[in-house]
Amino acid sequence: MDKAKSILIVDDSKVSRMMLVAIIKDHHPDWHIQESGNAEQAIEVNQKNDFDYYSIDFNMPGKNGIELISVFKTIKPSAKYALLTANIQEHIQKSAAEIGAKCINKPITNTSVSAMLDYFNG
Amino acid sequence: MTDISGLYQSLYHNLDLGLIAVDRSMRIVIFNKWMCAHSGITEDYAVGKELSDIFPQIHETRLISTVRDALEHGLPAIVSSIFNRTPLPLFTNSKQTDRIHQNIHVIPVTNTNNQYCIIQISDISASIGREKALEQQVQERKIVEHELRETLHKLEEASKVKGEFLASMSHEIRTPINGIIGITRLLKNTSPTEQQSDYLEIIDNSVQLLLTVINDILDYSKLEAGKLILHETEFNLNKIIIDIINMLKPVVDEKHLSIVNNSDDNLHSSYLGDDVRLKQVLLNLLSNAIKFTDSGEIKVSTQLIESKANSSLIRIEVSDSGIGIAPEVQSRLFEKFTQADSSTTRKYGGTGLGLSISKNIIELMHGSIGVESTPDIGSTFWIELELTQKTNQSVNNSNENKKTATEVKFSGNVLLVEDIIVNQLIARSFLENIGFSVVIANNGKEALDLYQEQPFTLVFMDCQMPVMDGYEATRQIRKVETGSHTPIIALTALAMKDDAQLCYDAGMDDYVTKPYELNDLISCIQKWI
Amino acid sequence: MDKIPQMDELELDLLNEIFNLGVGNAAASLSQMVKQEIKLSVPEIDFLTTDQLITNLGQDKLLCSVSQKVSGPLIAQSIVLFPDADSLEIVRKLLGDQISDAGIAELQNEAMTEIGNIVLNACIGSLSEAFSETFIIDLPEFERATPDALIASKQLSDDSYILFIRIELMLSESKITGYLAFLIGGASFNVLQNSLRKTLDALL
Repeated sequence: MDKAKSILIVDDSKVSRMMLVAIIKDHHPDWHIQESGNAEQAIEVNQKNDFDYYSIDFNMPGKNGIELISVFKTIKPSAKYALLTANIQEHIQKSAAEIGAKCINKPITNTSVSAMLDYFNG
Repeated sequence: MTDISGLYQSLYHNLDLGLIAVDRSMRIVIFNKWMCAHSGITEDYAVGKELSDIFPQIHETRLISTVRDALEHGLPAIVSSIFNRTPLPLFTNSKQTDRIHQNIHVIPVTNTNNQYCIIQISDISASIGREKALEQQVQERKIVEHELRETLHKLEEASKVKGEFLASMSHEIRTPINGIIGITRLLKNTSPTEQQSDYLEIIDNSVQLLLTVINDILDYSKLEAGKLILHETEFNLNKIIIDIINMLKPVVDEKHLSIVNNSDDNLHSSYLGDDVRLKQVLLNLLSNAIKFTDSGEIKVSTQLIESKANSSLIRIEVSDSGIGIAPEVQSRLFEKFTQADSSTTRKYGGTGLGLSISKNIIELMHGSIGVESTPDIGSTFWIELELTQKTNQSVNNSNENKKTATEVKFSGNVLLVEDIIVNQLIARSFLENIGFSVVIANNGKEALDLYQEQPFTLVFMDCQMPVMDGYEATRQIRKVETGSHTPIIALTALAMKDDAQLCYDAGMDDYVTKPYELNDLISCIQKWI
Repeated sequence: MDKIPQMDELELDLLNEIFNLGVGNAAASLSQMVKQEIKLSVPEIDFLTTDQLITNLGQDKLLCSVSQKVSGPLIAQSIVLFPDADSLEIVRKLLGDQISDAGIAELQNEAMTEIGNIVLNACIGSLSEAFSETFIIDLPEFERATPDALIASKQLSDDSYILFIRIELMLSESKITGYLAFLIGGASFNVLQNSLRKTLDALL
């Protein structure tokens, strides 16, 4: 097995974070998982840690997911980013593609999270 | 049981609606006659096929996703023709040329644990047609409104251009009239024969009349161009009326009429307003009264209607015992170019602009003007104005000791800058009459040279001149000027208000408007010497 | 009206997320339908009494509403609300400038019904998916009325509470505030809360 990875989950919904953590832990019990409830907090956490993967919600108060990913990208261009959204409008998909993030369709289910993990591990 | 199901079948086949039912896997279970008639697909062919097999165009449309939502989540939907243009290929006729506009209801139904979806299609082409017709009407009305606005705008523009043209034309015409008036007066002083005197009098009167007409047109064009601006000063209303009556006394006497002046004792001695324009209006009303009255009397009455803290509401009436005005004419009397009828113009003359100008001026003063009249009995023209009163200050009125022209004597030398010989003659004669010695410059350049050679008490400066105009000459003089400030007074056929500003900007101190009378010159000179 | 029963933080969070999903899906469908970008704010969720709702929306303000009755495990009136003037703005923006104002007013009813239908279906669909429940849902009804008249015509029982959700939409430079209101009776409130609890318990 590869070295244990670390992932940052950013979502304003605590329930969503709980679901994500539960499913990820199920697949990769050894991964180091951190969570943030908003973009501001996430930026702070990111400064103190080194993450391989990011799971980021699109629709949040304050900075949205795409804006947050573009901030992280400048610091960690080599990491992998997933944008979680129920709102799969063309322009959102396009912006996600432009900044090199993978769009993952909400709701958070085993299927959607597996798709995200496949992208990270692939 | 069979009968009932047969009844259901005939029921849905005879609906004036399209009806499709699909099962969980989107296979068609019901395809009614209406659908067959408008799609060209038979019931036998349709039933058992998948919805997207017989209508491949609905792939990835809202319709198919609503059917899916209905089957999977029990969600009903309305698919309107607004956002979904003809979702199903349905036609009104067998040739399949006219598409049906559809309003579709997607309804989930559960029957013995099986999920179905009913697609119900209504033909709303007729109401779409009505909407389109309405939409077209609205658009057409918009176009008409737009055209009307455009036309109105063009008319306003044209009227403004006309106003400006008239203003500048009047300016051009006033300059030569100025010449004729001045020269006529100079000729009168050359001891003409009695006959020549009579001729000169006729010239003088005619030119005065012409000047009145030109002034009317100029005022009117200023009003139309929105360029007539009121100048507020302090004045005594009663004195204004007395002045006008005195001015008209010769004409009144000549027609053997009388003028009675009834003034309200409660009037304040001093009000604020544009006395010149108010005088103009009253003069117009009084001269009309005199003009149209052959016998009897003219009555001017001034009444304080309401006294407020700082202002008075005043009504001034000018009544005559003249020919009167027919009721049908009264209403349009204040429109431009209107006189009672065209025979009036022939008999009494005038531009027909006077009342229109008066009305405009009074409205600029936020007042009102009107007429009451009975034919053959007489007319009463009235003005109602609210005037701000100037308090705690007594006004020096009629008793003021004003020196007449002949009594005034000045001394010193004056530089007269004027390119037109006629105007030189007039101005020189006036100025020499009151004691000045006059040096003439034919243009601004000569003026500048002369100015540098000798000192002058005053400079009279024409504005429009060849070689160097009055504005430039003034600027140059101001540059080379040493010692005391020499008053420079513009002599200008001012047509527009902006002209005065140009004079001040160039460094001139004052201006006298052509054509001018001796008194105009004197009162201006008195300010500066 | 009684005091509104309380929901805890996680229950509210889950409910919020369910509506977030629903509204996000609705925006995606609408955006696809009208081929233009629709931006959304994060929904703000609240429980109100009917009186509070009326005060919140403005007593005399004319509203444009689309409602769908929901029955099954719980009974609710789901309503999408827009101030009347804003609803015209929505139709105008969604249909583009080719239609005159008079035309838009004509289409207001039909267009808003479909828009409301999309939004409500997405939210009800999201609820039904989260709870793994199937609801029976009626076809949408359009109504223009003041808040009190609207509530009066929809009220299910005396002890109705309102699950009130406020969302801001950005439609080509126009910011429009819309509301979702779920009128539910006391019994249905309990069903809702239990379903949330059950879903959360399964997670934790």
